[in-house]
Amino acid sequence: MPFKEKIAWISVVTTAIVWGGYFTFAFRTMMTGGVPHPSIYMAAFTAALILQALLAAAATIVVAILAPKDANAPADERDREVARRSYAIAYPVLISLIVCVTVTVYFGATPWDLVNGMMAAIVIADIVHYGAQIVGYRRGA
Amino acid sequence: MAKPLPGRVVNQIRLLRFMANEMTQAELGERIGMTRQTVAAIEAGKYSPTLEAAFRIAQVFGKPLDEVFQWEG
Repeated sequence: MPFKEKIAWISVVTTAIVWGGYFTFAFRTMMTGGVPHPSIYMAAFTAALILQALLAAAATIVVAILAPKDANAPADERDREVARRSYAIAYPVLISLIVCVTVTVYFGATPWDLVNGMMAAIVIADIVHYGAQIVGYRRGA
Repeated sequence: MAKPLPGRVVNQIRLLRFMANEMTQAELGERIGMTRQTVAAIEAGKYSPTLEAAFRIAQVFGKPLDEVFQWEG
């Protein structure tokens, strides 16, 4: 498996776990009709950011130690093609989701809903981006 | 737009590596600036290289391009 595909797997898994946890918290809060104090929201958000960075960094270091040659190899034409295609797939997803989230303002969305909606759009686009990379490497390019 | 004719690119890289003293995929990759995994994908017909990369591969084996890659229609 190419090193960059391993990184894509790490990114998908850590993003799904960490932000899945964060959005479960946000969704439960929304369902109970409560809006947490900004400091609680900021703490959860910061914790998710730091946790994902730590998990992704740790997993990447382990993978790089296990295959140092692959880790040091520069991106070749297939890597660049896979990256280009995955951005081309994820970018419209991100724009569409942001437009959808923005429209919710007219249906009474609160600032808390908007912030979480925007964050969810970024996370989903990120998962699509890395998912497209994985599919690209699985298919060959 | 007309539908493209069916077909695929096939190659003789595995055979040529064998004839070149069992050159490894990693060695070939190093010589053409690609990863071992990309060479494996090309060899398996899962990835079609750029024309430039195809010429580089042919150059490594000292063969003309059409002896390395063929169009199978």
